[in-house]
Amino acid sequence: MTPEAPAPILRLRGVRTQFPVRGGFLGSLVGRPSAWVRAVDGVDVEVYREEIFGLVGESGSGKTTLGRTMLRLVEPAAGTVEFEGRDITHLSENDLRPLRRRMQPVFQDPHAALNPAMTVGDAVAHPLRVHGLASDRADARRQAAEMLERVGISPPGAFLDRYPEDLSGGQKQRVVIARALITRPRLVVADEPVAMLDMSVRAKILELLLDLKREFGLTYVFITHDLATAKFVCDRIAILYLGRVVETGPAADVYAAPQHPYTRALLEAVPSPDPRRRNPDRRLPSGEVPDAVDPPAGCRFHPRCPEAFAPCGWEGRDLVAALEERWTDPAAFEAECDLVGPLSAVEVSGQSVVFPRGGDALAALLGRLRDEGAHRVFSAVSAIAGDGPRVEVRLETGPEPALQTVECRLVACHLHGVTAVDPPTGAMVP
Amino acid sequence: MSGGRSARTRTDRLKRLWRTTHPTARRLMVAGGVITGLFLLMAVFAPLVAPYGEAQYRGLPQLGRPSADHWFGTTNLRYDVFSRVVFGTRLAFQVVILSTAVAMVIGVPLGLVAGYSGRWLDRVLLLLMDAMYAFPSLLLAIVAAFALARYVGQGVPAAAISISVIYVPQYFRVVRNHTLAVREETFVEAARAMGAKRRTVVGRYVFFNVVQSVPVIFTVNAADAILTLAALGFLGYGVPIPAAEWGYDISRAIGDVANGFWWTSFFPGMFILGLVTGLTLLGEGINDIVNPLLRRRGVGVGAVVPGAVVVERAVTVTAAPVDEVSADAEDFEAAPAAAVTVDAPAVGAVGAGAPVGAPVGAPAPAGGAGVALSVRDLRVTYASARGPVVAVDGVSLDVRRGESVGLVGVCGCGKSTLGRGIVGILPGGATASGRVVVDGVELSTLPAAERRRARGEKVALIFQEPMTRLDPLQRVEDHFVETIQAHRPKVSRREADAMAATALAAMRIPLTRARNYPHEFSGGMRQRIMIALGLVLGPAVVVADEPTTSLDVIVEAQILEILDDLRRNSDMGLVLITHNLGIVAQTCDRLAVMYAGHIVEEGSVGPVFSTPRHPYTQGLLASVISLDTERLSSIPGSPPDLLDPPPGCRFAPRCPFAMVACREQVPALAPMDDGSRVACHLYPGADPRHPGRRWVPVGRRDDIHGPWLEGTLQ
Repeated sequence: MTPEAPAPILRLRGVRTQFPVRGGFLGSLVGRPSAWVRAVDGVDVEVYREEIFGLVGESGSGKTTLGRTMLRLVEPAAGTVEFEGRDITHLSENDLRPLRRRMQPVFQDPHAALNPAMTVGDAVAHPLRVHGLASDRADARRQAAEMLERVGISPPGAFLDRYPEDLSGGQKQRVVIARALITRPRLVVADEPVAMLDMSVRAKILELLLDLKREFGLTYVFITHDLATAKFVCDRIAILYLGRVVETGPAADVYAAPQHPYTRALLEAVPSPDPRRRNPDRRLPSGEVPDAVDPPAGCRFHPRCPEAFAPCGWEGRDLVAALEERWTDPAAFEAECDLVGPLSAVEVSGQSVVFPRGGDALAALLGRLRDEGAHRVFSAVSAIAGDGPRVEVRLETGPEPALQTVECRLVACHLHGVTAVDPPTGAMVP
Repeated sequence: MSGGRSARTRTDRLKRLWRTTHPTARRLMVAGGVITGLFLLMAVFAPLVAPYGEAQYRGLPQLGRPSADHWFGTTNLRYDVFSRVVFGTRLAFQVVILSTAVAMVIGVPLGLVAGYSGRWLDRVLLLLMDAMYAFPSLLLAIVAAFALARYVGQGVPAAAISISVIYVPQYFRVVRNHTLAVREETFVEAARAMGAKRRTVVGRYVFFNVVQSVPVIFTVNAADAILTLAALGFLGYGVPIPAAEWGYDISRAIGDVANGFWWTSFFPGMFILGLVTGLTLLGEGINDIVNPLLRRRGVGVGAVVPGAVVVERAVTVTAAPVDEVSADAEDFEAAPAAAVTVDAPAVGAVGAGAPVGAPVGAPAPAGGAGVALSVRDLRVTYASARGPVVAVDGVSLDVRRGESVGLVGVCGCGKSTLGRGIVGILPGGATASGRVVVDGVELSTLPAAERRRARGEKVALIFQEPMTRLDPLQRVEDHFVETIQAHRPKVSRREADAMAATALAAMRIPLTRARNYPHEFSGGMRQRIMIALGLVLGPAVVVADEPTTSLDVIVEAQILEILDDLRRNSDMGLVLITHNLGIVAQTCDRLAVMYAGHIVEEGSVGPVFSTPRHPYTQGLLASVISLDTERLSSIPGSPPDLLDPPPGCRFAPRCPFAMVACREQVPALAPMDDGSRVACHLYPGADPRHPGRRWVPVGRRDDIHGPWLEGTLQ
């Protein structure tokens, strides 16, 4: 369904957006961060005119940061952002200002998105005044009233002088949409525009967004964690995980036959409102999204992936986590805990794990777990070496998978053939 | 023009804020306003009020007693004390107004700039202001007065400036911190995104929100400034004689007291006390109005205005099994933050007159075999400033052991209140009636102590925000031991540890981490710990209020899976409160649909999802956006304001089949042949006036503003 267009309205190449993690007391005095969180870490995306492009991911996936980077509300640390063919990556705020009327955000929380000290009329009219699009105050007010009427706030006259606190959530979101559209933008980045609204209001706001897109010829970037809404709304989607795109392509293809285990897991986790379709055999990924300060090596999804295998990038810490997970079974805990000793004493560095005690008995246990395939991490164990009481386990390294074409979409997963990204450019190395 | 109308809405806003304050607070504030007003009048008209000049001594007696000529007596220097204190009032106001103005003019812009720009400027200013703030304030004023005396000379401006030095850091800090918070608000980002200049962003978006806190500091500081001025005067660093200044006059009168001339120091002292009291009451009052957090705390649920919506939201946070008293207090603080929301004010208002929605086809009264929970005619009423709100209006519900019942509806329908009513943890100001029987024990009639014990033992509550319910300073294991030993004092630490281990293992928490602190766990693990904590005493019923709403979809699925296993294996009844119909379809045996405080349909998941009967259930199911959605659908209109609920069926105003009968008679829950119960006149048995018969509408109403349909009885 992608309309053929010669050039994308928005193009991101190798974009990385990072935030400082505040250091300790001294660090905050000097103002130097101790680490960076790469919220978006090497993303290539193209958005075409008059399509709805979905950015889908869980919390911590970087979808909101990516949306803000698209609008240049944050400056990326690496990569380029092109809007309507123009590189806006490092434009100054002054140079960006005229472009801003053509790219607008719609926010998740309508209660926070409106200035509580500004009336509805002033809020909607303000962009006109900022860009000099109204001849005078009365003209701005008239245009604001027209736009409010268009987004379903009627009669607008009854709302122009009200404060946001007098409005319901759905009405506020309509006002936010009116404010975004009053400068007639080309691109609208809508970040979870219905997530905070009640079920019965969601459909109305979505319908409004779709109507407005048709009427004004808009292009939407639709950011959401809700796969069902994304499926209904989007032409193309990108699934994000820990700052990277894991699968992207036409929505219809991705939903019909997801090719990345993460996409599959997300789709299986969505509870269907049809009680006849309960799926007791589904394999849910274990654990939760890990800390983005120190993301997993290789494929970032591998520690949770139900289909991960040897080349996925296993690390020493994965082995420790696997033992911990194994010990949620009290029988295994009783049998193995004393032999392994406290996990806090285990030395982990990169692909190596050293158990300080346990000796041959522990080496034998680990060997047995590897042979049994007790956990997917054991598929990458290359050596178990005893040295007196110490036991060292070594794991194979695995490359970070690059996006490769699989059935009409791009997928970053070794299950479709092992690939590796070239770290500096983010480009694919076959 | 818009000016007048804007002003009107602004006044409306203040009026509404005023109404939400506590009556006692309002009375105190009025008293403070009157006192301050009288002093202000006295200051303005001092020359008219005072019988003598402020430094007039010719022809006046020395140390004359209070008399008709000299109401407050005269001083050693033959001044008339009454005239002195009246002119002293004028001086006090001059200095206070000037000093706060100076402090504001310096402190507010500095705070704005530092807060908005951040970085080195912020750090430098903050350090400077903190150093000033750390200095003893009176000493600071004396040093400033000393320095100013040399260059400016003593007088009103010098005194005002030396006092203002104390308050600059206060304005700076308040404005800076407020700016820091406002800077992160979405609407500021929206202003940037629309291309507004930095100046505009700070001026129109940040400043107007920050400046609201300034009047509060002003009134609070004004009282303090009076005292500082008096102290400066007393020590001889204030405005010099012949100006009338209370502190100076008191210092001159100290010796008089020992000689029996009490009036020379008594009256200036009383004037200081009076004005300071008046300003303090006024300041506290304004603070109460402007500061929403204080406002809520002061009145509890009673002032939850403007929409009853807040009540419902406040309730979703719920309380811990053990110390529900402190937990309740937290709920109120959480309430304002959660008080954003929703397309329509909802919850119920008092159904006046006859009992509403009495369950005609309700299951047999409580306590049957295998019944874990039996609720009968439960009614929960909140007090609100606009009148009582019946959030749950005569609800009856049964849950069997090992059964999972989903409680669904939109925000404000009363589902969370029902959950809290079941557990017996309602916020202050709420009253409940009806019966709640858990595992054969009627909780509603138990004495308070036993009811508290039953919580956790018989019925547990799991809530939405796990982190707010775990003590950050307590190890996970200790949470369990405390809960266990609070209910079963005879259980030893070792046994309690073993119970905790079993409960944690059941929730798949690694046992190696039992001694960790809550912050060392991820969100999903914390929620599992909370669930394990709720289940450790083996309750017969667990009420889970939106247990997975703040979690990601995969973690949500993990937790629902575990919860599902648990209630099957441990044979407990589960009440799952959620707005997500998918979750109900996937994990529940039965469901109850709530609308405006009533259960409108109840039955097994299969039949209700495949053939919903109530028009509201039909609309609700159609509005769900799922992976199979091909067409968007929504219910027209919005839920009723239940301070003034519609008569008859509460859904009727939005219903495509609304008939005249729907307005006349509240439909009762009528049993259907597949075991469901439906409260709708389209089905036989719903109209108690015509047992066994149903209403059939003539036509269909596609416009909710259209006329009500005629109906025929069949």
